[in-house]
Amino acid sequence: MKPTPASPASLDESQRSAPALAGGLSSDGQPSQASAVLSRLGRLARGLWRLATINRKVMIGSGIIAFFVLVALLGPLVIHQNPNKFTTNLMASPTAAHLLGTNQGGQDVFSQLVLGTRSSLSWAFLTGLLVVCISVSVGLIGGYFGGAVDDAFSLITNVFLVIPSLPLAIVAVQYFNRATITIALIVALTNWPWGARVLRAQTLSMRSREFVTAARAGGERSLRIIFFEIFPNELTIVAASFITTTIQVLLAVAGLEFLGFGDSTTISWGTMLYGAYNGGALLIGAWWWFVPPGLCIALLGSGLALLNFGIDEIADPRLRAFRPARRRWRFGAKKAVQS
Amino acid sequence: MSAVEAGERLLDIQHLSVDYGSGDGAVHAVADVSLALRRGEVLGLAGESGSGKSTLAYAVARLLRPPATITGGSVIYHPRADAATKEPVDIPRLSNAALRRFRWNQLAMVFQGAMNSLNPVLTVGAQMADVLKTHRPEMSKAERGERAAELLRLVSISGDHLRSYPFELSGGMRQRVGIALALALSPDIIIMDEPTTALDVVVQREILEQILSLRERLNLSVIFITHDLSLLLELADTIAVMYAGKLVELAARRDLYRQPRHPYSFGLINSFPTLRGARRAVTGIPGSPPDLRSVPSGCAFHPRCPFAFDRCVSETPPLQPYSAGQSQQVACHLYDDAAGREPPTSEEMTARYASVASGRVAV
Amino acid sequence: MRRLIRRLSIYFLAIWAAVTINFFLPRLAPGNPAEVAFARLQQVGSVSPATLTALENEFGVNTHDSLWIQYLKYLNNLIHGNLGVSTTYYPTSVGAVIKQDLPWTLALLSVSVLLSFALGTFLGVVVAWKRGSALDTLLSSTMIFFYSVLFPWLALMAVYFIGFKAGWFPFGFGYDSQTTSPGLSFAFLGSALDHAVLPALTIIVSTIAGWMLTMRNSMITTLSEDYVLMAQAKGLGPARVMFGYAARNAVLPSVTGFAIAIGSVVGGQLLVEIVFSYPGIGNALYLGIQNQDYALADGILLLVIVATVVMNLIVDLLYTVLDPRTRQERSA
Repeated sequence: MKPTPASPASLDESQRSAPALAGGLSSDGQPSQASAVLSRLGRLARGLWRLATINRKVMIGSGIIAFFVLVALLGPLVIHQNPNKFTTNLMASPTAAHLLGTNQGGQDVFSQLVLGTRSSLSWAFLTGLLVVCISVSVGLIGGYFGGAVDDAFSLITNVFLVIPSLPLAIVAVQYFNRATITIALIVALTNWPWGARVLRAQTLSMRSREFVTAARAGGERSLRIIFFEIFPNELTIVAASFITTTIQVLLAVAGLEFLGFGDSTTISWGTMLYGAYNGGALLIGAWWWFVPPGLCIALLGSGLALLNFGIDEIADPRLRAFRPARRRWRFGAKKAVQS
Repeated sequence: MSAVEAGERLLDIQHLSVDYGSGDGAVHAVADVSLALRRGEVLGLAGESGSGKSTLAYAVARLLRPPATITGGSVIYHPRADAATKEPVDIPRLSNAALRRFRWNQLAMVFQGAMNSLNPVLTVGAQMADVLKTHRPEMSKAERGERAAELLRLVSISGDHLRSYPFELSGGMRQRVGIALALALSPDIIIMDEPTTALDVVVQREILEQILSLRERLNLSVIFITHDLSLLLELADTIAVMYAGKLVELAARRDLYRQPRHPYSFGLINSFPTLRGARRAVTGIPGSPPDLRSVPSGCAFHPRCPFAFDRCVSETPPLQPYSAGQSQQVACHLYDDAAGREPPTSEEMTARYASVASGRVAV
Repeated sequence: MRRLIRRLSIYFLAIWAAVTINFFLPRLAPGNPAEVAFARLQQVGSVSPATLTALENEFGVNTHDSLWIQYLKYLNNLIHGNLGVSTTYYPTSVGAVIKQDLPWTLALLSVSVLLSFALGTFLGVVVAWKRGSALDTLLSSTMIFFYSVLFPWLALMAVYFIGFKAGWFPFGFGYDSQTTSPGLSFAFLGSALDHAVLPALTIIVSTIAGWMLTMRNSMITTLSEDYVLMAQAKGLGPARVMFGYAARNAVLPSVTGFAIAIGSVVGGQLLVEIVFSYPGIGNALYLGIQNQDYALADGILLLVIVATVVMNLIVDLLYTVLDPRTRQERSA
């Protein structure tokens, strides 16, 4: 539900290759083995660590994400109040006992926020993963087989790319029960086309590379070639697409929850916002109720976006800012001193 | 014809150095290069990719992009005797506004990518008009159109193409447009950066003929950059050969043709089949140009040179006449009297390169 | 022309797909939730037989027609602009509700989207030109935050901090209904404008980041093109190089991105309208959802989808104007 700041490279998908990041992912044309895939993944992991420490954006981005992951994992151990417990201390402003005050049911907002991290984060990543699975399947199969299969897949992709995803999701979600999984499925089904388009273009250009031709000549089955030969070589793009998608999905799920389609028994950032909006937080001025959940969404999203832009910078060095050398002519300054 | 000794100086490049990046990681792309361009002369700059030839030319035009910066030296431009301001100007020290006036009026460029140097969304006419509007604000729209059509005719393109977009033209036509654009303000100097490289051989030949005939008619002063030294042997008056950011040989065309003195120049000439003239054996130079981040010590060419000896590893040879009183200059210890040996003849060079190529002598 | 026909067929298919999904979903959903709404409508009484039939068709209730016949009848109703009757605003038809609310949405949307695209693109050009500068660092990092902001949350913030606390602008409804009434009077227009400031600002701030970051990347890539260097070599002024050569080319991928993103922006605006109780279709949609008024919600969402498709078409035409290369007949 946001304009996608695709770098020109990703709009002009064919140009977006997978260099830099996939330092270890060279297409070596060897018959693939599970071990080869594993060692590729190992090299990727090492490469990722190196990158995380090279680029500032990647570093800050992964730091923010790691923080929220830790909160989601360990947070519930830290909070000492039941986030669901109603008390008579209604709409209390922040105090030492209630770091972020209480809501109109007297529930502790801070505990809710910590617990909500778990739901929002895990559903964002799971849904993002689901979206990427759909994108990868549609994009790789269409791009690899070409012909009628590709025509059909491309048509479906382009058609769904035009239909705005949030309105479509609302159309769909209103008829179903209010469980988070329903929202996740619907969001996944309405957000896959963009990634599929990027991956299709990449697969199209990869189809004619030697290592694919060699595998085909060696009599490997098509699906095996697609998922064991081509897919590992597109991991960078898949990763970038996963990150972008996760931001979209995080916002889409929260948006639907804000509209009241969320599961009222689950605490998440989105349902907190719904509760705050409908519980009159604005009228009473309970800023501690509606500010934190949205801020968390924006921060997590920023972390993901930073990571994505950092990877873009690594893949396309032109995007990096040159810090020391400026356009200014060095002698200009010297001359000014002299005169 | 040979202009080394004749003609007034138009451009004086003195001790010019260009670095990529700064601090410890700085790469010296051009190191202490001194050159002169005379009026009416075609100065050829030759070398493999990474030799610094393009960087040198872009530094002269002050078109370097970060992280490349000029770190020292000067580029003095001497205006015509009848020009309004006769004061020589140092291009690197021009103010931004003065630089903009200087550009295209005095120094124009023809870029390598015929495809990429024209703005894809503007018509040929609009791109010509852009130049005239900026530098000749007094011209009327009709005059601009007339001038643009005249320029196109100069490079044998019909005036109708003023309304064409670059993608509607062939590669050769685009390069002609590029040349016509460069001529728009009748500049003193034109820098041509590999103007024929991206084209197929026939078109390459046509463009070259075009440049030669224009040069004849307009008495152009050109800095012509190419990796194809044999091309320069047909075109240039003076030829400068660069290797790893340094000038290794500077000679009149005739002298270099008769006998290249630097083993590198010799290898370079013989790595291209000549389009015209005597057949030579194409041998090529073993190895590849050095990574500028780790340039070999002494003479940077020594790891690839079939004649290298101990001094080449330890000591950088200065650029000087190969023999007293000669105009042909070379930076090579082979010609140093102190070396106590006779410089190799052409035949020896051919033989040595051939044996290196066939693997009989280890370098 | 071929390109345009291809795009047009995709747009047509997109609308058809949305309509078809809309038709089948209530029938697929467990227990057909539309029956509830339908039952409620019948309780209201005095519903004309024609309306009943239309709703029966829309939701597949109390009908003996085959699915195929229901589908055709549904399509026929849509083509005649018959979107059914709203149970929330009974007996007003969905079409009438939309007709009343749509101008508000369109006015707010067009102004804020155009402003944000223009401003974002301009900022992208400037920071790319001065990349690495303090301005670039500051704007780029701020924008990464706003890129990930949830529309309705930003709306809540604007309502509370700028509207409620600071009191700079009104923060609810489309105009002051106590002092003015809709019409072509200065008082009304002024009031409407005043009320539109905060919603517009919210939409601008939450979308501007996307445009700016897209343009920045695209611009940086374009700046390394030879024709930009050539423009500098020609001695053209910085403004001419920056806009006539670099930005003029860099904006092309931005325009494509605009087409892809416009649907999300419209979706976001619906959420913003809800927070501001703005009298547009977003607010009507919210009421529809809360009252399980499926006809109203579906009608609005179909309209939004059609509007998005139309905007895509406009962007396509604009792109043809901007990029001469697409005007040439080539089978790409």
